[in-house]
Amino acid sequence: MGRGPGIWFLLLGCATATCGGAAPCDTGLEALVRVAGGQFYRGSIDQLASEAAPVVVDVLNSQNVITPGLQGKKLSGRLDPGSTAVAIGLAGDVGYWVLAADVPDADSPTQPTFHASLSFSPSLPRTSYDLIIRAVSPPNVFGPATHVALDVEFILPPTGALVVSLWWDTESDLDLHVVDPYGVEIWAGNINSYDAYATTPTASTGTLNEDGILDFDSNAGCVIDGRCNENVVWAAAAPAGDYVARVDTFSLCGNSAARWTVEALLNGVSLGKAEGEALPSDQRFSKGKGSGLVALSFTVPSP
Amino acid sequence: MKTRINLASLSGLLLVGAAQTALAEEAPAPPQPVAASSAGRLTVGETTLAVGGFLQADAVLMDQSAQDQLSPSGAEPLNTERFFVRRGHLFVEAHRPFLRAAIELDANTVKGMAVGLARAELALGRARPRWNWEIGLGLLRIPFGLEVQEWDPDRFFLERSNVSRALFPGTFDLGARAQASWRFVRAQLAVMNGNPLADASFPARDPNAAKDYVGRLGLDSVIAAKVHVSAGVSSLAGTGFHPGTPATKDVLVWRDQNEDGIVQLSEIQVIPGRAATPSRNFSRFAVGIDGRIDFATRRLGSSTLFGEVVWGANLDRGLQPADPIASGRDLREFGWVVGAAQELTSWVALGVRYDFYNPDVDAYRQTPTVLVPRDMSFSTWTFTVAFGGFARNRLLLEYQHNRNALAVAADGSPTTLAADTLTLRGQMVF
Repeated sequence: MGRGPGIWFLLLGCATATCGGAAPCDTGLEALVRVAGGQFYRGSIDQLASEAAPVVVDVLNSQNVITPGLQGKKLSGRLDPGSTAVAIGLAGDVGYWVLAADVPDADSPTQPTFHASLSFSPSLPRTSYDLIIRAVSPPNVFGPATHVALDVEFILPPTGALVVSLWWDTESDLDLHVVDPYGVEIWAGNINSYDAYATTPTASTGTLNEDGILDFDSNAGCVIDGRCNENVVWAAAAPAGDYVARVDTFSLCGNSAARWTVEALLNGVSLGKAEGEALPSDQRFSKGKGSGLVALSFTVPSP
Repeated sequence: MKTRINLASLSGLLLVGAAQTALAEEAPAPPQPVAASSAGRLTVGETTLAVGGFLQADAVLMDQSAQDQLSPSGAEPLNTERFFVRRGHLFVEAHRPFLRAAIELDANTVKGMAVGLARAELALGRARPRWNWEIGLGLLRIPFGLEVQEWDPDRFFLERSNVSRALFPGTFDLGARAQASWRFVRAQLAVMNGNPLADASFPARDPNAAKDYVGRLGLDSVIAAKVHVSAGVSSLAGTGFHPGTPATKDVLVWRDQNEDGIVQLSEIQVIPGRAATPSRNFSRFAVGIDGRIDFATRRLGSSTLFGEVVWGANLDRGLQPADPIASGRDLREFGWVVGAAQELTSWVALGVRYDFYNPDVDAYRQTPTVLVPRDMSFSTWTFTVAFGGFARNRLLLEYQHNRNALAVAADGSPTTLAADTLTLRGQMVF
């Protein structure tokens, strides 16, 4: 039984398989900035060898302020003649993105353009970033960096005399219900404790803007907004008395569970904190006023 | 030897000898109207029942495209380095004089746990030593070319080539088929829905009344001692389907043009509703030629060489589904595959295969200054070691070196998206 042909197959295969490069198959989800339709390459963009040309002629950027998780930020510009692509990334990030250049504008027919749609990580750790844009020409010649300073505007937790917060860890629809000392329940179906039709003298006597207000119904109806956080806020003074905070699992939106935390802060001082887990069995209860499991009870003392 | 040749015939390989059907010393038997297997048989009156199947369990040891992430759009796992059941088939066949019925189920975990119909056919036919004919109805193997008609456990390589999987995402389709053989001549003709199992749009359904006509004419013969040759010409002519769109309602959209987070009147747009658009049909076709030779010599042992070339238009239904209505022009496909397998000892065999497929030979791309032709082709080098040789019960180790044009190089030109794989497969036929 001869072995010659088999060995030749093997040698041919090894020789062929090792020739030629390939771009990495990488979604780039670990990067702080992502470019729609771009090819992701690992390595910091500010560490790439740079030549004097091609250059980025100009950049059109409408806002230098971004928020964590921002999607669809437009960035466009013009490149040196001869440019075939543009590299975009944040200085110090894990990688950068390559986007093929577009056709020139009519008013500058020799200069290729680029049009990028940027998205940013929901967990941007710093308050400012240096966005670097570099024109590229064959064969993989990177031009000098053009810098765009970006400032991050964090969504700060709401401030107020009394803040009751609920946040959770999966893209589920949980609802915060807070019952104030008057028995008025604040939740997605009644976002303000002001009760214009109150029939009892103990109901809130404040105005629309002074009472407890639910700031947002996050992931309502499983329309995912990514916040996973709801707050009921008394901006000025909260009525003294006993409060109850409940967590209603409206829907887990296909997730297996959601771990939640409820905390009440009175002038920045914690009155209590509770943690729990919403499970599929929690979805079966009726929804609306009075629904949800009691997560936290606390008392606001008289001033 | 004669038994092994019969098994190949049984698998529906009217012209294609299976890799492990070593060599026939007699004229190849005509195709028999039963499935390939070493199935157990039970005879009750005039009815003979046969039960059998096979199992292919895979372990992807390395895949350059694997990532420990979920797809940002569909939340599908992107990791492909895993253990899974590629195919687990179980079939029952009933034979009566002139009649045959078969049901075959496939259970796999390729995209999670799935059990489905793999084959269901009812056939009327007659077999004689030198001639044979059969007319069948149901979920039948598509009579086109070499790879499509090869029974999965008989294929030396783990999967079919790109061109075969693109044009025929499944090897079975619903329809009616007539096939006959006389001495070394083989002929097959089928009328089918044109939406095979694993079709990207309407698997095992048919959105239009027009049918696909597919057939093959070929030769299959032992031309010398231990030399078995087969060759054929295949053709498909059919009608594809471009789905229409439903009516839409008016939508109010806010686009934060100046990114200030504040709704301004100039940023509010009304996207008016649109009336439904009709579905449309389009023509598609394919022509292919294939050939295969199995031979054995005292010095080399058993060897197999094969090749297939296919030209098509608007037929891609798997890899990059062709829709000339959407693209505004016909999409011409071209692909070919060539391969060889060599027995080293009675328990080890090596194989190498190269396949090339271009789903759109007329593609172009716009650079900043000019419109240039674009190479859309996929090509793969496949190297396979089979422990167990050409036997059906074996362990296979396969490395695939893939090239494509799915990525963008640093200078903006198309380049290969890394997708090499190393896969281990255990296979048993029962």
